This record gives sequence, C-alpha cells and structure tokens, in this order.
Amino acid sequence: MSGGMGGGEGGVAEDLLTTKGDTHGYSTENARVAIGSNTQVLTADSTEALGLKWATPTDIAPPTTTKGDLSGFSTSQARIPVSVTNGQVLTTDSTEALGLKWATAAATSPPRIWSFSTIFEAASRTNTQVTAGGATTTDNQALGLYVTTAGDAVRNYINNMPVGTNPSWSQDYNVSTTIYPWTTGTDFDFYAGLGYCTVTAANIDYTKNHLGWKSTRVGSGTIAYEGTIGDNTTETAGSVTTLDTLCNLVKTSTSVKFYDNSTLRQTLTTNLPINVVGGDNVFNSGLTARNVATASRFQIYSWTYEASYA
Amino acid sequence: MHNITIKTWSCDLCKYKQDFDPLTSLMQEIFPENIKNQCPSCKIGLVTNETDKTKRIHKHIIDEIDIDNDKDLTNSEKLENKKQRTKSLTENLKKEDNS
Repeated sequence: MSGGMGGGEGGVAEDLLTTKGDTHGYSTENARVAIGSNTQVLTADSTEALGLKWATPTDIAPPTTTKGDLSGFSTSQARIPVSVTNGQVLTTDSTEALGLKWATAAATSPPRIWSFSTIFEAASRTNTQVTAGGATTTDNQALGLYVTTAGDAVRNYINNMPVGTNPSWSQDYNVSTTIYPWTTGTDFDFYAGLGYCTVTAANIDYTKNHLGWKSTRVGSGTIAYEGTIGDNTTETAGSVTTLDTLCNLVKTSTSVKFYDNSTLRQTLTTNLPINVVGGDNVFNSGLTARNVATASRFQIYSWTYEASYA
Repeated sequence: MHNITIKTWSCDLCKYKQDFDPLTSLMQEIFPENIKNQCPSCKIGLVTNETDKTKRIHKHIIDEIDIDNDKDLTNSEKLENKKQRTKSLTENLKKEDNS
C-alpha cells in the first residue's frame, strides 16, 4: 500500500508529534519542534539544531508597567514613565534618552488680556501731541498718565471713576495720548497706571498710592523700565528689562503681577496700593510703543483700565 | 526720601523678579500651579537670590513727621527730632538693605 499519510519507511513517524501545538522541523531528518509558551512566536535561529525556536519577541512586548506609561524608542522600545505631577505635558527634548520628557507647560497669558485689543483699536491712536498743564488730582482711583521732562510736567488723567467694593462699570476708561517726537537726549519720567502720583518740578513722586509702569531716563543714560506700586508711604519697584507693545497688571489681595507682552516680568507683594477699586482680580492694561534705539521717541498710545469681579 | 534695595529673587534664565522668598507656601498662594523654586514666568529657570544689588528691587520711602509731637517745639528742637528720626530710619533701612 502506498500514498498513505501514515508512518512507514521514508515517511514521518506517526508518533513524532506528541503535544498539542507541536510542529514539524527538519535538519537531516524529520524532527519535532515542541510547542512554546503562550505569546511566543516561531523564530528562525541558525544556532538551533532545527534552525528555529519559539521565543518571546522582545521588541514587540510592551515596556509599559504603570497606569499612564507610554512606549518610547531610541534603539529599542523603552518605557516612558507617566509623570508624577498632574498637569504636565509631553515635550520633545533631544537631550533625553528617548527624546521625550514630561514637563510643566509653558507660561500662559493672564486671563482676558487679549480681549482688550479691540478697545485699543477703537479708542486710541489719536496722535494728539501732549500739551503741558492740568490740575493735580487727589482722587486715588484716577487713571493717570504723567510725564515730566526738563521741569515741564504733563498730566493726563481720568478721576471720579466708580468706587466701592463692587461698583457698576458702564465703560472702559481710557487715557490716550502720544508723545512724539522726544528731543534726543532729553531726560524724563513717565508713569502710566491706576492711582495718582505727585508731579514735581524735577520728577514724579512714586510713593503715592498707585500701581502702574514707569520709565525714567536720567543723566542722558539708558532708559529704565520698571513696574511700580506704592501705598502712600513707600514705593516698591524693580526693573522689568523692557516695555513692549502691551503691558498689563493683575492685582490680587496679596500681589501685583506685571506682564509685558504676556510675559510675567515681576511680582511685588510689599507696599501694595490701598483702596484700589475692585479688590481682587483687577485687570489694568495698557498699550505703549517704547522708545526707538536712540531713545529720542517715546510714544504712548493708550492706557486702559477695566475691573473684573470673578 | 530714602532709597534702598531689598532682598530680591530672580530667574536665572528669563530675569523675572519677585520681592518674596520662593517658599512653597508663598509660591502656591500666589502661583497655585507652581513648583517650589521654579520660575513662574518661563517655568524652566529657578528663582534664586539676586546677588547683584543693581538688579534688586528697590524701595523709596518718604520721611514721616509726627506733627502732634512737634507742634510745641522750637525750630532747633524740631530739627533735632528730625535728625533722630532720620538716624533711626536709616539704621532700620540698612538692616533691610543687608538682608
């Protein structure tokens, strides 16, 4: 009898495979390849007697071990452990072994800053040259824009703004002006913000109750830009490096934060201004164009104040 | 008017400044999502003590006069009182300046 599948001379012994999953192998004669473990795959391996084996695929097995882990890769798969800090974001970083890391998200803008942009466009850019004069206000709610140069004091302000713990606001208050051009080499003080300062013959007294920005150019030197606050006795101020396009203040009950083009430049917590409308969450925003490189121009397009009661 | 510099903490990367110690409790009060010593502006640098006095935050303090105490004094006595107040204030400011 011939053509059967059964064992016989020159065929495969019927009892060659003994276990579920066994398969045939061959080297110089038929041989059994015993079934491997669960999840193993049949892998070619010339060092094996039959040229193959069951093995665990190391590059396919997930490296993750913990809730939130990710799989990364450099030369082989590797685990990217989940961040221990909530709120972090996955960030590319070529210095990391796997090119990724968990990191705190970059600084974000304070709320509502950009909502003011249409106010600026609609209410400012009058290009009116400032003229000297104006009466001193003692209303500490005033929105002020003060400039001195060579003994000539300029004050432009709004007072009689709504006061109280929760005043009703029917409009955004805006002080808008442009100082242009400035005489090259002229020293000056400039202040824009909420609250009043005292303009003297020589400069501005910043110890008064206020919060805002100031700029000084003294001794024909470099212009200093500073965030400034005062409580009627003491001024606290510090350099903020530069003033650029859009300057903002955020006042809370414990601090005043100074933003320059959405970058947090400085936080002051001492000598906070008193009796400022709104208490917490007062947003004070201004738009300025800083001096050109020669410091001969200083344009102030507008300074706007808006209170928020979140 | 007295001008002093005060203890200042600044970021070693972005030059952000603040006038309070970056203790965890203080930072979390003002920047709730911040990590200890991490710059609240760039979120990368560390907030450390500013050793360059020219870059420190400064204070301007007006002189205070107690009118009630001075009203019955002679001019020379008022002047002497002012000197004493100035001396006392200056000494206090020096302590803060060196903190």
